[in-house]
Amino acid sequence: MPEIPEPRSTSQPLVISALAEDRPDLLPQTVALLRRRSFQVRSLSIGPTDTPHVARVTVTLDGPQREAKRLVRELGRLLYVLSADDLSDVPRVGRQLALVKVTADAAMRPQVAQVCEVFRARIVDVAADTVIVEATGNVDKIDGLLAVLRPFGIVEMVRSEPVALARSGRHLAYSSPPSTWLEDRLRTDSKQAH
Amino acid sequence: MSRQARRSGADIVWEGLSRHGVDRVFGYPGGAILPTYDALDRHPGIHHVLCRHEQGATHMADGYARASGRPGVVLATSGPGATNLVTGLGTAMMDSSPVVCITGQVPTTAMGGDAFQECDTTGVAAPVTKHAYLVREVDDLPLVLDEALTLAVSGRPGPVLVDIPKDVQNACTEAPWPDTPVRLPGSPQAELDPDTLKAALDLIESARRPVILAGHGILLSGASDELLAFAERRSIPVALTLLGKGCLPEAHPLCLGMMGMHGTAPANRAIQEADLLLAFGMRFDDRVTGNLATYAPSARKLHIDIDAAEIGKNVAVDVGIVGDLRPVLSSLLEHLAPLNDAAADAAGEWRDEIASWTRDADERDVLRRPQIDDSLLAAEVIDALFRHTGGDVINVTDVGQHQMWEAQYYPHSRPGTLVTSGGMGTMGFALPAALGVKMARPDEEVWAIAGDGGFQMTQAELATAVQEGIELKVTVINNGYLGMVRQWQEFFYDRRYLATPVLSPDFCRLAEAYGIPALRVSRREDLGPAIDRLRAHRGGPILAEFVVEQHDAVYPMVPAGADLDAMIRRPHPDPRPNPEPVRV
Repeated sequence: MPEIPEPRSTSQPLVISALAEDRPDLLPQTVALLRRRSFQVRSLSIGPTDTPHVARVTVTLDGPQREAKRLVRELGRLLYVLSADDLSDVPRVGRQLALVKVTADAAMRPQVAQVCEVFRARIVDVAADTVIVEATGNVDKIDGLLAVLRPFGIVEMVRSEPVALARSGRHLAYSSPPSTWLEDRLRTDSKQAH
Repeated sequence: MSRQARRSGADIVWEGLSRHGVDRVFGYPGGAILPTYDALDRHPGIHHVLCRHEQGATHMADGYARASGRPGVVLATSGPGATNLVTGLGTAMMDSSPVVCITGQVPTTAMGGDAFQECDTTGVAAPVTKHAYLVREVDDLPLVLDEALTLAVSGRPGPVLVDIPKDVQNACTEAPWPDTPVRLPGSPQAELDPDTLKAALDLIESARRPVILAGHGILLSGASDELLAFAERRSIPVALTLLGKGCLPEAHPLCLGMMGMHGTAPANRAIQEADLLLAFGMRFDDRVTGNLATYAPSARKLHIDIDAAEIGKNVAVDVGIVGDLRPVLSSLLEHLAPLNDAAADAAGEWRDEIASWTRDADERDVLRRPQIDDSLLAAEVIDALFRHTGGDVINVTDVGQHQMWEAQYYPHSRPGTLVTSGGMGTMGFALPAALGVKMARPDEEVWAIAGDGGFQMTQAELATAVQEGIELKVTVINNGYLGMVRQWQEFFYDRRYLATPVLSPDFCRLAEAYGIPALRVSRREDLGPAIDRLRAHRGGPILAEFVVEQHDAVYPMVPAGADLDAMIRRPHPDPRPNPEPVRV
């Protein structure tokens, strides 16, 4: 059975969130910025939002607080970024998704299920001698769940990069009129819709 | 958006350039960019300058862009053509110059498979550009080109690259040009808010020993008049960065000259003893600050820059203003009170103190001492150039000792008269960049000033100068060494001169091989006539080699990482540590 590495440090990372135009090379452009400005990146997550062609970028970093402020400023240099905010010391909801394939035959399954209940995780796949557990939560909760699942035998697992939103009263917005590119995309969308 | 006739990606490239007023591109053809070259004769409004190396093309475009404020456009092929651009892009990025590179790429169907002359050009270029585009669909090309050419000159200018696969250049489309000027993503710059304005004014009006640090941003913003008015209103001394030279007449009594590693002693001492630094369009580069921990220890800091990422990047500031310097300084000037009597007294004391440092520095000036022997000093060459040109030409310098001597001994009196590679410190910059400058400003007298080391890096562009008939004055200051490196070896590596003595060709015969008239100067009395001869030459380039003393060092010097006022000063009398000439 493969050896499962020790979980990453649970010291609180810095959390930076941004809105950006969802162009094909948003991901590599963001990675290039993080690398060339020498940030100690823990994670990067990019996904669409409810606004067409606008993506949400979440970066977690190690380092002193000023690194978060620095990244907010540097993100402003990326062509596609519309606005950015430091969520590190703001009340926020941060979540990570984990899928964990655990050794569990029919006899052990109830015990895994019990653990899942405590962590509000779910068993989403059952095979003869393994189950896949799905859990969402903050990084600490996922670390806690893994610690309890480890004795059963973790066959393989995957964790998504964390994402976060500030709690009510604070949200990312951008005031500028849409760029020519965005206008162009929206026009193409409406043509296709007809 | 109106419909357009069907045309190829290659035609769209030239249309896009024409739309942005580009009438000259610098380039080097090759397989993956050939469709675009093939369309060139359908667009006679654009002149193509064939360079001898893609690096030369980027520096030429860079010089053109800096001298004109408009995009300097480069065309190159994929693979080595594209990787050869990197040094020029990095140079333009560090010095905020709007170079736009258009590169051919292997066809989209071949990409990712190690095709001949394939390279991840946008991946390589991303760290040295404001943005690097890869255009996979010909329909996207009009908007991308419009955006790229707009982006390069907007906000803080900088280089942009557009990589176009060969099949995209060949593909045809009716995709239209945007009807209106392209709008880039991102929020518009915020107005200067009254609280920040008041905080800035309070800082300035309560300061007793203020210094203005004037950088490239003043020139890029066209804020020289505002700077002068600002400095004079409160009688504030002004220190210049290397790239800020020319933003204020250096003969002005408030001007302290250049700051930093080879800056003037009065500028550096004033910064260290200031109680307020007013940083205008500069970025607290390590060559300007020395040891950050001891930098301007008693000074509060007001920083104004168009690039938000610069505020607080290297030096914590008390008030930061993100904005274009010209309108920001105008807003400050509207409210800035003139000096009252008490403040005028304080300003007078501050100026007197600085003036005593200036007198001391003048006494140490090597050109005010009797010369030890007949050998020519590089500083003398620059000084003679200043005297014989009236200080009114455009100098384009390379990187190294001669660059610092130019900065010290050629006081610039108007914007745009010094073009040099500051941030990147790119040797080989002078000759190609000067060609670009002369093409952008044909009415100006333009001098390329290089050392023997840097000149050899891009000397092939002499051919471009001849082919284009560019009336450029080329000077090579030859001390037989990679002089600045040799200087570091002298000061910090126990005088072990490893790999710094450099063999050069006979520069005059080299020039003559290109059909360029040339002369060699090694005697003091020949300096003036030689410069006059270069000035009088018409119809094409001319070269002069100045053979100078081999071991002179640039003083003062703040060792890297040392406190800004811990300057190595010129010893007196000058011991000339290695009097024997070195032959390679």
